[in-house]
Amino acid sequence: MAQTPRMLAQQLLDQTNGDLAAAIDLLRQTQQQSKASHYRPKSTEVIARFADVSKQYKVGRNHVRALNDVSIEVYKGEFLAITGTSGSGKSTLLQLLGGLDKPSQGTIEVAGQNLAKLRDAKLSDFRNQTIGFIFQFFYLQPFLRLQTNIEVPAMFGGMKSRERRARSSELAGKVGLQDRLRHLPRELSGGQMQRAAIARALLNQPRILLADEPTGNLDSANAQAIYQLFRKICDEQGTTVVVVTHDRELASLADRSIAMSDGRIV
Amino acid sequence: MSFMMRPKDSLTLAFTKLRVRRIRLGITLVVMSLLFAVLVFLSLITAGAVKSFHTFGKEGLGGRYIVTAFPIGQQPYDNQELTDTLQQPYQDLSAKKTALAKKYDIPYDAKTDSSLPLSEQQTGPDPSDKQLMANIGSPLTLAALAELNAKLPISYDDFGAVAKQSGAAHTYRATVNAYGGGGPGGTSGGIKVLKDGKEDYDSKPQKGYGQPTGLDSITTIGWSEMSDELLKPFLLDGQTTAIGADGSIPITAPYSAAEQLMGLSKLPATATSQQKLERLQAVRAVAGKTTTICYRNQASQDLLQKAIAQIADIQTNKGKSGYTMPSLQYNLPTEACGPVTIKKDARTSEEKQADSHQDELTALTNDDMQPVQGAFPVRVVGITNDLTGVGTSMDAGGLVGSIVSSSLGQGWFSPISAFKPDSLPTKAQGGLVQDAPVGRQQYFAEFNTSEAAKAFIERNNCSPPQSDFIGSNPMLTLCNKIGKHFSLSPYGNNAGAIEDFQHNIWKVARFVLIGVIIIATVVLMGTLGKIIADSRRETAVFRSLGARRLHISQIYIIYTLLVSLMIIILSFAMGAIGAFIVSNHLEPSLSVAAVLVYNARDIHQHFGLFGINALYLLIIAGIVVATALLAATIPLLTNMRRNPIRDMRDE
Repeated sequence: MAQTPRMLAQQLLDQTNGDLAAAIDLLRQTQQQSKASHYRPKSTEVIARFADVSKQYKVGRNHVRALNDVSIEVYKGEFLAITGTSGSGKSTLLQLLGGLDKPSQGTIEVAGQNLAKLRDAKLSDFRNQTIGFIFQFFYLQPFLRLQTNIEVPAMFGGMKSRERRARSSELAGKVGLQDRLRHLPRELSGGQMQRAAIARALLNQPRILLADEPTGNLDSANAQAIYQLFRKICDEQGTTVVVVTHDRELASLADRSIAMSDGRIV
Repeated sequence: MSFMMRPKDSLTLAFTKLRVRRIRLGITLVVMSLLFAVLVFLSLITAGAVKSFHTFGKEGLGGRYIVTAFPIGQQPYDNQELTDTLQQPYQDLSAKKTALAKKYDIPYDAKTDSSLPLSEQQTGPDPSDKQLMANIGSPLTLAALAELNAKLPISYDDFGAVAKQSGAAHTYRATVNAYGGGGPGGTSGGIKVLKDGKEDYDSKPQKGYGQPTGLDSITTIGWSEMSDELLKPFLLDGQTTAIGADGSIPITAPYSAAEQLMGLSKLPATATSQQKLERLQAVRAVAGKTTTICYRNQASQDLLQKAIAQIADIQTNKGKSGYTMPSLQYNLPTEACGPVTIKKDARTSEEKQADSHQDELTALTNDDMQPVQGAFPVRVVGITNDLTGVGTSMDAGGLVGSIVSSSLGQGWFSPISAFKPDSLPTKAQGGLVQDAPVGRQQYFAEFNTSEAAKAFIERNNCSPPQSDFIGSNPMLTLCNKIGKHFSLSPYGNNAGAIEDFQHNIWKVARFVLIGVIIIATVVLMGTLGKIIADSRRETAVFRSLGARRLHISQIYIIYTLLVSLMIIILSFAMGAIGAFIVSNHLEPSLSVAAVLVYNARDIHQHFGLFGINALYLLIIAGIVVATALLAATIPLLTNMRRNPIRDMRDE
């Protein structure tokens, strides 16, 4: 007999001892797991692979294990959300994926390159050309106009100024900031700043966009808009988007969601 | 990916750094700029002064390459050879004088007689530390010195031969002044300028130390015979080195003496430069003015002093019971520089005989017992710098005077051609130049190039270190050993003075420089370190956006260069303003002093202190940049080593 929604709700309430919020959360988890089990990536090409990756930090005299034997594959062109509570290891995973840090153990292969084997300069080039970073606090240069801010990665990449000017203008148009190019960051709203940061991340046409709590500093409307923008980038440009968030609702908008706890994928 | 960022891009990012911590950066810029402004100031002042020295150097002997030489002869002291030579005459004379004194029953002790060629002198703390040493007041000592010196290759002809060998175009000679502590061979007796034609009996004729300025300076600083050729560039307009129709001897007088001759009282220290310039014009009107010099030999001076003392004594004791008037009474000279005459001679025949015996005893060691005196006219043909400058040694004139040793020199000078054999002026000079003792001889050699003059000095100058001065007559011994017989130095040319000036400035500047670099590095390190440390998060973001470590360094190096550029602009502006103000403030008085020191024809020539030496300024700019880069190195290296993740996580 098919389970009616009423029956499902009752079952969830029973499992959570009548706590409605916990029941809704449990429902989302169940849906995610169901979605994951039925997930079929757009492309079977793996763009990033973590194999038994562990990461240990030294904090004072103690060693903190931020990642514990994580193995994961990220497919080309997918929109992946990584969720988890604070300290679960999701940001660490993102940083390792972006080549900002090296694993203590295991191998990370991104876009065909074993990141552990890359020297510092090559790793910088990798970040510049393959990865686009987006941060919770936007990190725009406060004294540069928006267009110059967007062009910063191209400065490190040595792109010709005419080309990057054209590209920054085009990207500003795509994120809806074409009329704000001459503005300074302080003259923009939080949502506009994050959109500018996304444009900046996309300037060098990276294969992977990494966003660390990109909506953590935004209201829900702006957060929704940013996720829709990610969706669009992913669908239209085929860019792989990996978003770290603690917001399960937003994570549900991704193609796939991975939950983390205590440095492991759960 | 490019190895380096495009310069324009790194400049764009570096400019943003100037917007952070603006108050701290502003204070740092001001402090740094003030520090380096001191160096800029010194550089501009030095360059300005050197430029002015060069301009004024075209006056006088400035454009000529002359080397002056002092022959290295026998010393009167610590000279065993001289003492040995004088032993026999000393023994003979002391025996003779002792016998004569015994014969006439005159108390006499040869050991304390300083008119003998040798006398016993204390050489140590112990009463037994006594040694026979030469007396330079004794004619026998002078004769012995002359005899010993004649054996050395130090005559004017010897010098001429050495100079010609080195390519000298001309040689000249002069005497070092006869008075004012002229050393061995210095003329006994004295000269003085008759003020308003009157002889001032109240002030004793000065020897040795006394007023270095005014008319009295002829006695204290001295009067020298100078080669006509070397004197000519210093003559005032319309003047010559020829003896005047009235028999007047041409003479150059110190500025203060000329001022006095013109009846002008000394300008107050507060006088403006315009007043000083006007005064200079007024003083220069002294050209051709004659005055009279009075010469008295030692016997005449002694007699005059005796007469003055006697008259004062009689005046003091006039009417006092028990006071016996001297049996031999003198009159003061009835005319200026005249002889002392006898007013009354009431001596008994015994007294006369006793005086005669005393004279006989004295004459054994003194060949100049007859009073000789007389006045002769001199004509002012030039003005020399006062010993202490126009005013005090601390003012602008003193400064220029102390730097410039290339003028004629201090004192009074007359051309050699003005001195004729056996004339009164020649007597007053202590003889003709060729007869002057070695200790008063000065030679000159003129070369066509500065290099030739320098080479001559390097080849022939004897200047052993003082530490080697051991034993008898050390200077002569050491110089003889290396076959160099003259003490040589540049003369009349500005190059030496400028080199000295620059050297002295450098002596001060190098300490300032080290201090500035240390302080600047510490201050800059603090500020740059803080700014770089504050930018850790931004560096981490840039690294995550693909910046290489080298790109980050490039941004901060450009930033450091921008800060350096600002310091350079500010310090150059401050230094220039300071130098301009100081130059403007001192220029009038320096110009007056320089016109005087160099005897410049155009009294309106300017001696400025503002000049630009591109090399000095480039060096300072380089030091600013190097200091800033040095200060940025440690904070930058520390920043570069940091893990961007850690900085982002700290956030």
